[in-house]
Amino acid sequence: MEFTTTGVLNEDGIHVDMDRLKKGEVNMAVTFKDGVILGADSRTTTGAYIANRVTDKLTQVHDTIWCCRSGSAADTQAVTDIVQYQLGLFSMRNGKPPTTQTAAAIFQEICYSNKDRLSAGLIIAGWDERHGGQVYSIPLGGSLHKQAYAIGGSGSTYIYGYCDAHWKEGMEEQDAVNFVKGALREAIKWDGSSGGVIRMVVLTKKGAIRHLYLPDEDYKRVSGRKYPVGTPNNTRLPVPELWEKRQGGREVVAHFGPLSSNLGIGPCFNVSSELTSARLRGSSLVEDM
Amino acid sequence: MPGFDFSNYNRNAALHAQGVPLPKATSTGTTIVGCIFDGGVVIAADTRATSGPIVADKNCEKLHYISPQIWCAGAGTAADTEFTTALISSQLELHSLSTGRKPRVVTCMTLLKQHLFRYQGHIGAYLVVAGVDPTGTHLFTVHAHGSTDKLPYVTMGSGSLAAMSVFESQWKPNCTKEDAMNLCSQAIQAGIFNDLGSGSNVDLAIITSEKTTLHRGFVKPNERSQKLKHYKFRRGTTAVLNEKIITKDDIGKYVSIHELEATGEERMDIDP
Repeated sequence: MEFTTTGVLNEDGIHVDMDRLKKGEVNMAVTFKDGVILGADSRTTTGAYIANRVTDKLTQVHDTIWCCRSGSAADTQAVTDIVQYQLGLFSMRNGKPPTTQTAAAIFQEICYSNKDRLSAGLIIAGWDERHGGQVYSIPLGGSLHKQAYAIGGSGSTYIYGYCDAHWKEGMEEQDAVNFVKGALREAIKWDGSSGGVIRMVVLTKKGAIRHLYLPDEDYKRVSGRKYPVGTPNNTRLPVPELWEKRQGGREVVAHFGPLSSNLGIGPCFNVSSELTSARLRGSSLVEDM
Repeated sequence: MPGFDFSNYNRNAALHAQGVPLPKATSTGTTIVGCIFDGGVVIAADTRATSGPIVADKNCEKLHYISPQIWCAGAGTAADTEFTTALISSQLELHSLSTGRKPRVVTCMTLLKQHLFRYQGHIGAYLVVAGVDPTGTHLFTVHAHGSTDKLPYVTMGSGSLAAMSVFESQWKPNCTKEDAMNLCSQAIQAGIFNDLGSGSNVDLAIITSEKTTLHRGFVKPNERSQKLKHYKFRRGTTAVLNEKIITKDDIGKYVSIHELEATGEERMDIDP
């Protein structure tokens, strides 16, 4: 009789669970002149089925420290939940926000010490007063790499050439946004397990700003939400084509727009989903762009 | 520590090694759905429980109580959905008592995902968590491995594809309560009619800030009707070839009776 950690004993031996939620995906983070940009697609799959076509893989772990999750949805959510807690504790004990490096180190500690139990590929990007925008990548084995830009997920293999050819040091914000969008579009185009909308987060001195690009509008920008550092969370301007909803003190859902999926059927919505135990801190939207 | 006892797992593995087939868990090949509307949330489920190809229960309850304003729809292993929801319901009530606040849906979802993550998918509970709390209306899915999603409409179970096709083609933003109820009911029926693992009736629960209403058997599209014919054989259908009547006294010819004398230890005490 064989036993594995991932298998389940069945009548006919070992059954490897194919239904584990995976994020066959693409995500990236790049530094630019004033900070750093994270970007990701929005597809979560269970085997051949898309379990969520509007997933939010960009997760906030502190005011201006975010991460891109790839690999197992359960594993990456568990890890980011722990780090989110650790960083919250850190800032309260020290009376100042943690640096991106601190966040990355906590991520690495968890990823490395549980390397045989986790399938989590993470890119950590953040802005802090001391170092500005920074990008750290933690691939499967739990190593930590500081990079000018990082790409990850199954779709990333298709864009190594694109990124190498188009990357420039110290880009302007708009150029960096276009670089990220161009790369993700290619990855979505060529990789079957990447798709849906493009989400981005721009991290600068001013805080975090979310971007959303829908495939059926040729990835033109639909919305932007700002989360300036330490802003109270009670103002929000309505966005005409978007259906936004606020609930309590939390940054919640949702833009329901016209078609947002390249599947081409049905009404569309997209949601900053996977609200994990999470966003208890009060930074939230102040302005739509 | 609260949790599950897996000692039977080793026993089953040992028995399996000796050629004994493993016990089959009752799996709820299931359709469950949820949909948010303005002012609350609706969840619904079919009522078929299966064990392999056998329908184990034609009218089981897959809508589980967590707290008055938080309910769960469960797919996967029936026992696991039953026990995890009961466990978290208990923890949430104690938590609410100790904090003096109403339980929140995020709290419930976090407890569930942390519990399920700890057991690495061995607890086969796939849940739709829905509810209204002081922070608003919420709808989540929680998978057995511990991942969660937050969406305005969700489906799970083997019938989730059929159900999702209903949502993807009919859902509109700003649903009314009636819209949401109708949509959920249609989605479950899509599962009942198109998925082998789902069947029987539609159960539906509506949660608003005022009250929770559970409709057991909201739609019953599979009621047994009066049989069109009756299948009793008429008297005399079978020909009588011969007839023989034996009297009570004659029985002695066919049966012999012996009195046995009980001895020593075997003798039973008889009340005088």
